[in-house]
Amino acid sequence: MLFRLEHLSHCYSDGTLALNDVTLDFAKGERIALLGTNGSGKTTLLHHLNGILKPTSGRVYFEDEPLKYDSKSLLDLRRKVGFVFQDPNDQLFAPTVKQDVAFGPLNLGQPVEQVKRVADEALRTVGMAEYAEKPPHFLSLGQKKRVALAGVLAMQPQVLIMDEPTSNLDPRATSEILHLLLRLNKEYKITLILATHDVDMVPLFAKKLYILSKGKLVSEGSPEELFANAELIRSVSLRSPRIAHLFEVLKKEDNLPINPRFPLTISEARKEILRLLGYRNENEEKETSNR
Amino acid sequence: MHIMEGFLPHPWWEIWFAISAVIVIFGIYKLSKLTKKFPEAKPLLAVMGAFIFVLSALKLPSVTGSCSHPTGSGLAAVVLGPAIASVLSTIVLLFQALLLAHGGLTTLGANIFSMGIVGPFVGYALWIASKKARVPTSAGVFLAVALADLSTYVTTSVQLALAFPGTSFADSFITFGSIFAVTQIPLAIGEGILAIFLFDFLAKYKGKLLSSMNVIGLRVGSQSSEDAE
Amino acid sequence: MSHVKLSAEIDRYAYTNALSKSSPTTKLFLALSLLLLSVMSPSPIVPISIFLTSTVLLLSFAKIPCRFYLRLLWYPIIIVAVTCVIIAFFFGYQEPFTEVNLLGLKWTVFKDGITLGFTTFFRVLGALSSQFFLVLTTPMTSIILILRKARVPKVLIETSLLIYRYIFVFSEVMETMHIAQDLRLGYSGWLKKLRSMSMLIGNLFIRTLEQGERTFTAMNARGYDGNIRVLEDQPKPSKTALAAITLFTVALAIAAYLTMNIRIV
Repeated sequence: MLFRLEHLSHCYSDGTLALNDVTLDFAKGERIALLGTNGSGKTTLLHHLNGILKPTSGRVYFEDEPLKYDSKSLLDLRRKVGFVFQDPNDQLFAPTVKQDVAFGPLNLGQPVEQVKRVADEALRTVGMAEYAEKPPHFLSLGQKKRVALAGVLAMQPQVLIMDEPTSNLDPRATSEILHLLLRLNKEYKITLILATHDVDMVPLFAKKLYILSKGKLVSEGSPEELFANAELIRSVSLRSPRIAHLFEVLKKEDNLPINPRFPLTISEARKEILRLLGYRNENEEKETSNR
Repeated sequence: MHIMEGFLPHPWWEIWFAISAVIVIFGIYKLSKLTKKFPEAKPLLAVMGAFIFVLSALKLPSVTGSCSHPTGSGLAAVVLGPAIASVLSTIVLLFQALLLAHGGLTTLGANIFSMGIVGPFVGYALWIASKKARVPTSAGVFLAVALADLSTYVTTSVQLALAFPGTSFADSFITFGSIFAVTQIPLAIGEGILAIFLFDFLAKYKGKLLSSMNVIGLRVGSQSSEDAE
Repeated sequence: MSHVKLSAEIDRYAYTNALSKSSPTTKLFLALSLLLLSVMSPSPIVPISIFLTSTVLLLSFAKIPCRFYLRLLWYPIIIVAVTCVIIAFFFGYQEPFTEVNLLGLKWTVFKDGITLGFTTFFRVLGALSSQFFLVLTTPMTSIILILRKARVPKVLIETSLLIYRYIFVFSEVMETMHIAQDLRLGYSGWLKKLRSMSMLIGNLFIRTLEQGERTFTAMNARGYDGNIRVLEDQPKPSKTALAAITLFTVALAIAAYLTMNIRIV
């Protein structure tokens, strides 16, 4: 297992119990989403994966070894596990884009020439190479998010953790970030773990979904499994993706013979509609693997 | 109240540079000891410096209708102590010269002395004294901030009078002092009242403040907000 | 709020002007040489030529819009002009020049006062224009990196790098909060203004502390160990340019020496 959390609890100094006895496993190469409302403990959980927070009780294992919190072990962990923060203004502190991207690799003690190379490459990957010499305050929020991502990619991590990667982004910037993440997972085999409350985005991205509520792990499974359980979703103050909701209404109110596993994405919905209308799609088999 | 670039003739700008350097270097020494012990102090001090800069760019309404800006050095001194406040003021003044074209590079030394050393020191001393004398908090805050402001402008007048003595230093001091008094006295009163409101507001967030101040290991800061109750 | 916007504008010019790509060391060397010459010069002749040099460099080489340059210049010029008139009127005592009737009183104006007033005015003008040359052509980042090379203490450099970044973050926050207050009429009446402003500053201060903690966390996540390491990737100064500047400086210094005894009246 890549990560294993065992009976993890975290209590902040002001007394809030942010995580309450969470046990779970994250597999390598996976695309994982943590779903929950604001204050459900997603961010706190993520902060444990990269050693930013220490558990109040319980344990965190990375590659089957318990995390150690001395500075050398932490540096080692942080090279492998990159963390992109929700607000890029927290992360971008350097006066220029390139300086900021170079910060991580320089901390890893890489030689200057190599740092320049990886920084340029990371900026190209996120499509921000032409902004290398600009100060961050010249950029839009979407651009800042991409630079923040580049700053972490430059450390060449195996795991990428992102807190609300699409919050406050316009539709176009959202889809750009999503495609970028999918590409990183596919081409570089980077394990992706992200926290979100954007239920419409989850099925587009995640293979594996964990639902948190009030600091507890409520459920885990594939997005299809979990979103099929409407009661569960409502009990944690979330909702189904819009598309699934539409099909739920069509089934309940109009008694259409819809599969109990509601479609979650446009391509799934298209298939279901075609099935209902009696069309047979010849490429059906192919499309299933393409979602 | 910054002295403009080029206004101080040789040798006065060099003299003020030398005097300020001694104190600022002491501050830097204290600062690097602090940041070695607490790496989290660096970002925290930096955001405070940025805060002072932004504050100084804020226009303060003054009674005469003219606008000027709060110095923030009083607050910095109460929270951080005068030595470290002088280092932060140095950086802020340099940024004001380079990013706002406000104040100058050759006059930096003189401006550091009036705004970053005398002002914070007077404010800090009055703050401690007013607490010892059990003066009500709001009066203590008002006195510390208003007089820190006034002492800054008196210092500036002294600096100008020394550089341009005319017939006598005293005459010149009175001339410069009375020109500034028109804008600076109402401004000092304004900033003093502002500080009372501000202190009230911050007292509500005492817990948060205390924990942050303890992070940088400044007992002075935490004690003062404790006594504020 | 206009000051905050001004710093953003100056910053933008520093990154986008026509000289932004040339070596920051050269620009800093030139600006500081001109600045020191202006301040040290005993007569107005050299500062006037420095003012003309910087203005030409700014307007026709760096392509800074004339309007913006004048906007920066006019406010300090007025202040310094008024001050210098006061100096001219009140600070001389050696040789009477003329008498003026003002407010029913007779004022004697002395020759040395007038000379001092004039000299000071042009000294400030020369110094200001060299300061503006530096400020408008050289990005803050480059200046900080040069200071770093010049072995300025590390704490100072690292703190400055962070301060530069967060000035713009907080300016944005402050402007948003100010607009929000303004919309709810928080700025009608003097005392109300002060109260609203104190809340704004207080809020900003609290945000500041939170930001400090979050930045620290984010830096930690990328392996921060108490040292902020930076890449040095700046255009190298050309030796010819540095030599030319030195020559020009020496020529001006000689001119300053020769014109030392010029008196205006």
